[in-house]
Amino acid sequence: MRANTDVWLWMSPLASGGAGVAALLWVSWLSGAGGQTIFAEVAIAVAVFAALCAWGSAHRQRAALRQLMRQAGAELEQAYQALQQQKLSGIVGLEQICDQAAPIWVKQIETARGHTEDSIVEIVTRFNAIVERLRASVIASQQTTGNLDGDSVVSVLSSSEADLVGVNRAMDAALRKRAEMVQDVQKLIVYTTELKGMAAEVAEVAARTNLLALNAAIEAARAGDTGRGFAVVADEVRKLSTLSSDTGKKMAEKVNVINSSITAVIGAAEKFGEEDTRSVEEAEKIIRKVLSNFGAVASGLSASTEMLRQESEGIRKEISDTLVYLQFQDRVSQILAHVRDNLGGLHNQLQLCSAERNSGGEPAIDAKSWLSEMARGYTTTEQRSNHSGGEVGVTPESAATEISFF
Amino acid sequence: MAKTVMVVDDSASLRQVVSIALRGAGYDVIEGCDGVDALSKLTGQKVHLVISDVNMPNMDGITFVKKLKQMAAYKFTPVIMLTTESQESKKQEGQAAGAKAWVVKPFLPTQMLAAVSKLVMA
Repeated sequence: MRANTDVWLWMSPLASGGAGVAALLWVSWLSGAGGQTIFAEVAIAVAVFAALCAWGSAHRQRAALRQLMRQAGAELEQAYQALQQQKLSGIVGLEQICDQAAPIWVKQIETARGHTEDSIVEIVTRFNAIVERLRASVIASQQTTGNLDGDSVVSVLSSSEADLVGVNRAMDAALRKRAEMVQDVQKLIVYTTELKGMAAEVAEVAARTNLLALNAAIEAARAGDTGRGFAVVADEVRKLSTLSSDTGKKMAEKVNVINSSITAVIGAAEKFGEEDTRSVEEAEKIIRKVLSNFGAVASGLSASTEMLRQESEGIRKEISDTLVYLQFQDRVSQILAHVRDNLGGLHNQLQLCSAERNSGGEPAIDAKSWLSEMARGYTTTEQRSNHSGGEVGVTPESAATEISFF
Repeated sequence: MAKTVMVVDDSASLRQVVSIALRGAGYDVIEGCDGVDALSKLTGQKVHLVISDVNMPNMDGITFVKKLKQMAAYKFTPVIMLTTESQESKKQEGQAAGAKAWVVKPFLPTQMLAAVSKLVMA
């Protein structure tokens, strides 16, 4: 606005001067043809007068403007004073607010800080309980699986399989020996057959001896008294022949009985052998099936144990990492405690100011010193960053431990 | 026999976090909520290491360490300062008081335990 006023202040005499020059030119044009000097002089005088009038007009206008500006300045000064008065009354209000609100803020912050602290303690306690339960679960799982890791379970399974296969082999060997025994018994049939033949030969010898004894008896009778003794011998030979014949028969009968028994035993043995073979084969199938099932279960158990262990470790790591982030509560707590202390300090300072004012003094707070004192109490980089007007300090996304050894 | 570590911090949650990590690693733990409380609990028993916060009420960590080092039984007990402070001037104060290490919170329990192990074994 002032710039525009200045422009018009200088434009007015220029305009008036311009009018004078125009009048001079007009007069010169009128007198140009006849060279009338008097008219020219008059015209110049008129032009100079017009210029002087214009200058005088401009000067008055400038003076009026200066007056206006002085008035405006005075008004502005009054407005400024009024504004200052308004601000002063605003500070008084602020002081009252601070006086009453600061203790409340202090309590609110302390309450929030206390709640956070209690909550974090509770969370940490619960996390620790979870970790302990996970550890107990893993231990229980290991005890269930014989305190073995996955590889050991598989190893025991393989060992058991080898042992059971060994049992199967022993059973096969026993069966083979039983078959060999049956073959040996079958050989006895050949021997008994030979014995049977020998018994028949004995019977044949007896029959011939009997016939010989009969002939001898006949010849002894024919010899009369001289052959009586020989008749006795022939009779004894006949009795011996009869006895031999009976023995041969009995031998043949016994051999037949033995053969029947051996045949029956062989038949039973062969039957049992076949059944044993089937049983062994069936047992082997069952054992292999059981081992296979056990293997699958053991593999699954090992896998689940391993998975449980890995999951447990994963969860423990997660909780451990979470505990790192929970530590930011300490930083938050320190920041809040610092704000609380500052508010409390400000409250005390305002009370001192109020007391000083009531006693007629003019209290003042040195804001710069106050802020410097406040900054000295900072303990975190976030606080310093916030104070220096940098970006608002935020919780880092990843925490890396900063360790210095002395 | 388990080594004993004293943890001094006014933050209950931080004491808890540090204690859990230490107990998990097989250490026995004595807790103190500030310098005064910690000194009252040091009655001559063997303490293999002290972990202390810096900013605490009643008695701050630097003063606590200075008083600790004046006690014959704990003159050579290594001290780790565990704090949110990362200013070099504060670290120098801690070193001058007799601290052996300065760990800035937040910390990874594994790295904190590594520092503890290093100083306990030293």
